[in-house]
Amino acid sequence: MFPSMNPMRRPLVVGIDYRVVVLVTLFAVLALGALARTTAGVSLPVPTFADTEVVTNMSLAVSLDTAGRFSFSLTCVATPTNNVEVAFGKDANGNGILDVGEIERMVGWDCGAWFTRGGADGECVTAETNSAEEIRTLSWELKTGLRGTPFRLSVMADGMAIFSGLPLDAGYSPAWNMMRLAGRGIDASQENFSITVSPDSTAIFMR
Amino acid sequence: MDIVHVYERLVTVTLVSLLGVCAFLATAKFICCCMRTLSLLLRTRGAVFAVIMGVVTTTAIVASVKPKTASTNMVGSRVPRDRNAGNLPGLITDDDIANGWREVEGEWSTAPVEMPSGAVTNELLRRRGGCDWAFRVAPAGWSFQCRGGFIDGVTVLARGEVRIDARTPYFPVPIAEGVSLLPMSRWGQLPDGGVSVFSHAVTSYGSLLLDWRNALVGRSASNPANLQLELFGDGSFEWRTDDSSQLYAPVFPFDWDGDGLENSVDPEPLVAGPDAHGTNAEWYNVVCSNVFEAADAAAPSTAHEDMRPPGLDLAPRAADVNTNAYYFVEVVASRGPAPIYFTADGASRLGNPVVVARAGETNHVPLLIGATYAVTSPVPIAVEAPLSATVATAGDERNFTVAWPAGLACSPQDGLFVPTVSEHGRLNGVFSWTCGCCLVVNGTTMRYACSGCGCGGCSAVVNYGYEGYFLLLAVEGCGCSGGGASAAAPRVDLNTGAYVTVGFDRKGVVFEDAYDNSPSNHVARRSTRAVLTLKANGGANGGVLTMRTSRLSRLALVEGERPSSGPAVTLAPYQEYELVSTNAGALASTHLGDIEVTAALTDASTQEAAQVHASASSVRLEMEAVFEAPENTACRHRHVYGVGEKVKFRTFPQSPEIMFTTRRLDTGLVVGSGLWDYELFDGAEQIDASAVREYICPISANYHPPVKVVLGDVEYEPLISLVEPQDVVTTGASWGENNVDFFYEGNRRCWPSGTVGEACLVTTNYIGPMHVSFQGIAVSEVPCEEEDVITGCFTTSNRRTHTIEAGAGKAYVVKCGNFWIVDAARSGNYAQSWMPDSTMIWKIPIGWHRRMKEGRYDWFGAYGVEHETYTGYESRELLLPGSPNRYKQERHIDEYGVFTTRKFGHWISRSPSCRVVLDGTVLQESHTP
Repeated sequence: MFPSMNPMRRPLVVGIDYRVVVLVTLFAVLALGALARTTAGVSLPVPTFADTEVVTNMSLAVSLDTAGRFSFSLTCVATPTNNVEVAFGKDANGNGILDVGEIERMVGWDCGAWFTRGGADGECVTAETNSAEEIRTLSWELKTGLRGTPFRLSVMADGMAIFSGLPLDAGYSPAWNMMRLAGRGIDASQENFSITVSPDSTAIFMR
Repeated sequence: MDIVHVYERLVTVTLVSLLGVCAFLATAKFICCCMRTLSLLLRTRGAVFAVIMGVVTTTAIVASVKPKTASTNMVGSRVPRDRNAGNLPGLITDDDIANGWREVEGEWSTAPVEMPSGAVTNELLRRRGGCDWAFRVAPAGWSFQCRGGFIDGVTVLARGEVRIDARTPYFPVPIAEGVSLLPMSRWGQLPDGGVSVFSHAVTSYGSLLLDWRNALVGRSASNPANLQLELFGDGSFEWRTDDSSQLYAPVFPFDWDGDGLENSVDPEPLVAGPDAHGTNAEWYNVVCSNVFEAADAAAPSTAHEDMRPPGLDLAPRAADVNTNAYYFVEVVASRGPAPIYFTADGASRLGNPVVVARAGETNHVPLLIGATYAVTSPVPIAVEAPLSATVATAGDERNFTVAWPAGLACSPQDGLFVPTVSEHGRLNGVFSWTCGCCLVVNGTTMRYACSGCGCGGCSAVVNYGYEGYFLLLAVEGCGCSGGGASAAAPRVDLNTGAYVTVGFDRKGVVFEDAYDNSPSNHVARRSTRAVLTLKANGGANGGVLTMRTSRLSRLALVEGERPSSGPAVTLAPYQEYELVSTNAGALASTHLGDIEVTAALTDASTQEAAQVHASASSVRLEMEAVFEAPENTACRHRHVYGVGEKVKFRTFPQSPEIMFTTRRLDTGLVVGSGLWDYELFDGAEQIDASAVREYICPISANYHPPVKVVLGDVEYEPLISLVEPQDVVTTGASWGENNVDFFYEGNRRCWPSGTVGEACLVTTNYIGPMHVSFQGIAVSEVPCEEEDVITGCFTTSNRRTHTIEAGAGKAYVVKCGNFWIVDAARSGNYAQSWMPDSTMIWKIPIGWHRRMKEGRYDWFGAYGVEHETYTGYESRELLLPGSPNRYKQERHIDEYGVFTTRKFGHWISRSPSCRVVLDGTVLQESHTP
């Protein structure tokens, strides 16, 4: 099963509720009707360079659901010497890559702490959770009011609330159309991480 | 949601999914293709990257790197660029040039310098490595000027790129996609061991070093290389790798005064000259308006003072190699775009400009006066012989020399002389003079009053040159220096008559980096000079001369030529060889004598060898005000101080051989216990610079601090000016309370109803001006026995003057922010004897004094009488300007019994019914509850 999936969420195609549609261009998503929810994940390229860094960009079209929420969760193997991060932004020059200057929000795990920053070189906010687990999860949810005004940003990691001082507009932007995933200091044969965007059944897995 | 809607969603998602699969497959293939292409690019274009980008091409990729060849443009072993390709050097693009950047070649470090202690290593990169990751480097207190503003940090990409910020790729640097850093767990993969880290540091001279050690070229652990960027205070920067470096300087087309900023102080000195040269270029001759004055009577001229150093020393900008003047040539191409290359015949800070000349557009190109340039371009250029330039044509190249005629004449008054343009020819020359007269080598005679020399018949050498647009003269000392002189240059003679000698004429130099007295008062770098001379003779058999230098780059070349650690020089029999250079401070020595020059001469036949060695030091002085000036807080390194201010002196390096000296000039001061040691360094007139020393400025601006930094025969005098208190600055007024003289009726602080009495005026007062600190003094209301207007009931008062008994004579130490006192002006109740229209005015002189080491003192108190008082005591008066008439405390009772007090620009009145008004605002109508 998908450890990051909320069992209460229903797949898009069940048709009970209107959900967020996530377009994924790099990963095969087979949301087949109401019956099956099979997601074929693909492997993040094995690090081919000695610096162990791997980066993948994927298009993303995200809007708020009818409940006015945007959320994602990130699960990964977290060690004192690895980095797993997701970056959101708008691919302004349309080159299919979220360049350094196009990143608006980064979230992830870096060498012993969860972190988030606005922009590739923005001020970094970190949080350490005293968890002994090897696999850790961060959940990010922005909730808006009737007119789409954000009113609550909730970030949970390893069962704790973190990043409580973040401004609400850090949680989401309708302009985001690209997501960049990166890993560093990882041994691809051992570690895995997953990102689930929105409360939809759509899940993106990278092993 | 209805079933139709669900169906539509299902179709949409399925189509998207299928597209996603296709896209993924295409993307995956695309990624692989990119990887291969990138690898291929790095291999075949490795030479270009190495030559042009100056970043990282290691031995693994350099199979096709062009062999290093010598050229007149070479500095060290730098690889020349391929100019004949007809393309722009790939290091900078058209956009970069449009943004005002260009490459230069300068005599600077060509290899990554050692990171200073305290360098900060990026821990995240150390732990897990990285390539495409950005982070901010913004050291506290560091910034540089750029385009009218300040940049206080940069964004660094682990892949070897530096930007102003993530969204602004401002620096014309190559994006080295193949550079990355190894995680610590994999450092064992480095072929020669070591660490793969990024670190940064701010150097002692204020530049920012960004350093990649064992960065992976092509992201391969088998190709580690070192990469470094140094960002200087003027916005220029240099990339360095293990075997090459590339210096960049900003070019601001309208930055005429060369301070790196386009602003209103940029002059418009250019006068169109009659010459035309090259591609419709017009020469502009700068009108020289500089005035040279005697050392002890320097006065500002109408020229730009920040470019002209007060006194006599040339003050080249930091890292300047050549202080020759420059001016902008306008280059207009008849067709384009076309690159036009200017290649100078020697190294200089301006380097070799490259102009992308577009048809019909004007490009400003800075060229050195006195240098010879070869001009090349893929488009035909027309060259005309200008009136003041030398032009030689060789093939497709044009060589021309920028020459600005100069001749000097001297006015017969007070040693002043004004350089005027009167002769043609290249600039080069040495003036020499003896006391009372000067002789110009090129035939123009001048007189110069050699004052202050003191030893009669002394002589000194004056070197002249151009700094920016101005003719400046550098005058060495008068030759009257005492002991501690540098040793004579060592010389070794061989049996064949060959010899070699090398030496500095002084122990080194002392210099100061540029500093700001205020945001609008910038003082350029100042330095003493040291002449380095190397001579050799081949003797009967001829010989081979080898030279080696260490840390010579800590001295900036002012003029001449100096040895370098380059190829050996073959001397023919009896051939004389000489290198003479004048040098100034650029970087501080780590320890004294660490600048070394060694010369070895080997006889060509007998193989007999001789070796000589010389060393020097470069000492940087730093001064820092101890107290903050309330309206000049940023300028801690200012040299303008309030009287009595404390100043920290420190040298780099610190050494007991370096001395801080001064003389106490204020003989009126009484050296007593409990008082500050004004005009001394930690209580002494001379102390060594082995530690930070604290100097206390004179308490009067009448005394110019004769402070010097001395290293053997090198003396450096910093420019210090003093400011005396000018004003009492009152920031607020209120109605005072808690006054024991007042009765309290109920809960009100006032005299009883029906009585005539004063309300207490409380003011908060500071000592100005605020661009300096006055925490080094105490200020008091000086007791005054002089009466002013006394009328009505005040004629019977027992306090008709502001005496000590009336509250004067308390010296309060000025506190942080120049705070002086909260003054309470109040007096008694005149109900019984008041008279309408009564007036009393106290004159209150305000003066400053030495301060105690702690606490304050009262006149006639336990610490004795302060001798600098107004009347009744000896010595001089130390008063703020305009007193005693300036500060008064005025009292007036009108016909209704309203009592008004005025002081420090504020007033308060009280009526018999206790109606209180402060500066026109009613604070209380009456006692009525």
